[in-house]
Amino acid sequence: MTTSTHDAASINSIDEPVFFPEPDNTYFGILSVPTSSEQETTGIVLLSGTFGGTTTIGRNRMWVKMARRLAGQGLPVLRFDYAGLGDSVGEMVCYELETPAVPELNAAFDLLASRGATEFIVVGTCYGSRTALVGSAGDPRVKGVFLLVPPVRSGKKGTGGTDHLAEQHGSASLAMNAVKPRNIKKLAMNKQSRTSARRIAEAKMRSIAKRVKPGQAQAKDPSKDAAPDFHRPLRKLLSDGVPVHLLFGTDDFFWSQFQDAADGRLGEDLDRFGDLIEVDTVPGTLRGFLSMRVQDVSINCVSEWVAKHA
Amino acid sequence: MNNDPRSATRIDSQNGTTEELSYFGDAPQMFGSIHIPAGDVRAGVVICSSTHAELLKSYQLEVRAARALASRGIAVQRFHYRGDGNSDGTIAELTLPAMVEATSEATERLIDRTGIDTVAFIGVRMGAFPAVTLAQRFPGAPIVLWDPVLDTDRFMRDALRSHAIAALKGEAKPEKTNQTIERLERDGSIDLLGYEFTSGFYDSIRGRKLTDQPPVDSSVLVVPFGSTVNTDLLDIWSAEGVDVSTSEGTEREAWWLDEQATKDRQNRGTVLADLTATWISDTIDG
Repeated sequence: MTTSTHDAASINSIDEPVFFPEPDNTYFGILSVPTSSEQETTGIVLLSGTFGGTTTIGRNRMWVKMARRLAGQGLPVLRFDYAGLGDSVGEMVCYELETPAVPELNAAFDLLASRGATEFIVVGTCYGSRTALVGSAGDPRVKGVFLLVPPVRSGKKGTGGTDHLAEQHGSASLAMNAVKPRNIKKLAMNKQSRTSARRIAEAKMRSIAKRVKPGQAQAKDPSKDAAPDFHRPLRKLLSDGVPVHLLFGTDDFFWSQFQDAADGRLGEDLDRFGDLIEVDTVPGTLRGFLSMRVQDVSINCVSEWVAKHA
Repeated sequence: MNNDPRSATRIDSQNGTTEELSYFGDAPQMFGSIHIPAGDVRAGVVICSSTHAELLKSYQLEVRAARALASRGIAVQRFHYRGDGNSDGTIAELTLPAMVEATSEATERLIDRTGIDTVAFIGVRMGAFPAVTLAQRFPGAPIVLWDPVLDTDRFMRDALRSHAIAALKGEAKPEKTNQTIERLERDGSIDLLGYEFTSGFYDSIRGRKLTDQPPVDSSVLVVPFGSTVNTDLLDIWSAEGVDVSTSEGTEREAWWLDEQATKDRQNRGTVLADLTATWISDTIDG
C-alpha cells in the first residue's frame, strides 16, 4: 500500500475510493482511513452543499482537508457525491431542502458499518446539514451532529439570499438597482439573473403583504419559525440525547434566521436541551466558505468538537 | 478481483462500461478515473481539467463527456493534478510543468491499461495547455478545447477582477490588481475567492499564449462557452496549418463564481458531452 503524502496535518491517513451500496454501486465516495492500526468504532460522514459538480472536494479542497484532518485523528471519514453529481450515477435532482439525501446517508452509514464502525458523527452544511438532521434523527448509532451554517427555514434551496435581500432593502432601493443599465443587460442576457430578480420581487411582495395585513402587526410572524424539517429532527436528536453543534458566521443570513426562530418555538427546545446543543458564531460570513480563513476556522471547530465527542 | 485499497471499480448495468477510480503514479499520487467501453476499444481520450474553482465548475461536464465517449467505444482517462481535487499532495505542487508531467503520466496509464494506439485530448480552460503540449507528442492526436484560456495574463486578470468584485461586497477596500500581484509575490500565496493561489503557479503560467503552441499535426475543435468565438486562435493556428474549427458554443460560464447544481446545467452538460464525443469519434474514424 502506498501511503499518501498530503497536508502535513494528515500524513497519518490514506484516501480510498469506494462505490456503494452493493450491488448497484450507485454512489461514489472517498474513505479517508487512519494509518494507525487501532480499530476505531466511530465513523464520520461529511455532507457538503451542492455547489460545484462534485461534493467530495469543496472550495479550496475544504472537504478533502477536513476528511484528512479527522482521519489523522484516528477516525475513518467518508465524503461522497450525491446521486447525479460527481462520479455517482443517477439523475441529477433539484436538491431541495425538503428532499434531503437520506438514502445516500443511510448507504454511507452501512458502508462505514461494514468497515467496523458502530457509531457515527455526521457533519453537514447547507443541503448537507438538512440531510444530516433528517437522516440522523432516530438512528441510535448517531452520537453527534455538527451543522455548519444550516438553513433554518424552509424554501427553495438557494433562495435564502434573495429572501434576505428583500428583507434588508426597501422597495425603492430594489427598484433603483433593477433599472441600472448593467442590471438591465444582465436581466436580458441571463436566465439565472431573471430567476433571482423574480424571487426577490416575490419575497418583497410577501413581506409587504404581511405588513399591510390588519391585525398581523402585533402577532408573531410564523414564517420566521424554523422549518418543520429543521426543528423536528433537531428535537428528536436532542431528546434522544445526541449532542448537536451549530456554527454560524455573525453576518450569515442563516444566523439571522436562526435568531428569529429562537424567539419562537425553537427557543423552547434550546432552553430545554441547553446542555446538549451548542450554538457558536465566528465573525463574518461562514456560508459558502468564501475565504481560507473561514475554511480553517470551520475545519478547526469541527476537528476539536469531533475529538471531544468521538 | 482488484485488491488495491486505493482503487474501486463499477460496471454500468446498462451499457457494460467499466469505471475504475483509483490513485496512481508516484507519491504524491494522483486521483483518476478510467472509463473503459464494454467491447472493443477504438481509441482513448485524456481529459485535462482546469484547476482551482474551474475544476469544480467543469467536473460534471467532464464526467458526462467521459461516459458518452465510453459508450461509443472510446476509453477515457480523467485525473486531478497533484495538490488539486482529490489527489494527494499540496497546492504548492501545482504548476504548469507539473500539469504537463501529470498529463503525460495519465496518458501512459491509459495506453498501458487499454492497449490503445490512437489517443485524443480534451483540454478545459487552463487544461488546454497540457492538452496541446501532450498532443504534440502524439502526432495526429485530435484535440477538443473547451473554452480554452488563450492568454494566461488575461486569465489572471479575470480571476483577480472576480476577486475584486467579490471584495466590493465586504467592508475592506478592495486591492488593485497590481497590489494583489505584489502581495502574491511577497507572501508566496494569496486567497483568491477562497482558493489558495500560489506564486509558484502564477510564475509558471505568466506570459503564456496558447496561440504560440500550434499543434500542426492535429485536428482541433474549439468549443466556446458564450457567444464570442476568439478568432485570434482560429486565425493564427489556421495560418500555421492547423486543421482547426469551432462548434456552436454553450452558455457562458462564470468560471470563478459559485453556481448550484441544477437540471439546466445537467442538460447543458449532456449537449456538450454529445457534441464532443461525436466530433472525436468522427475524427478518429477519419
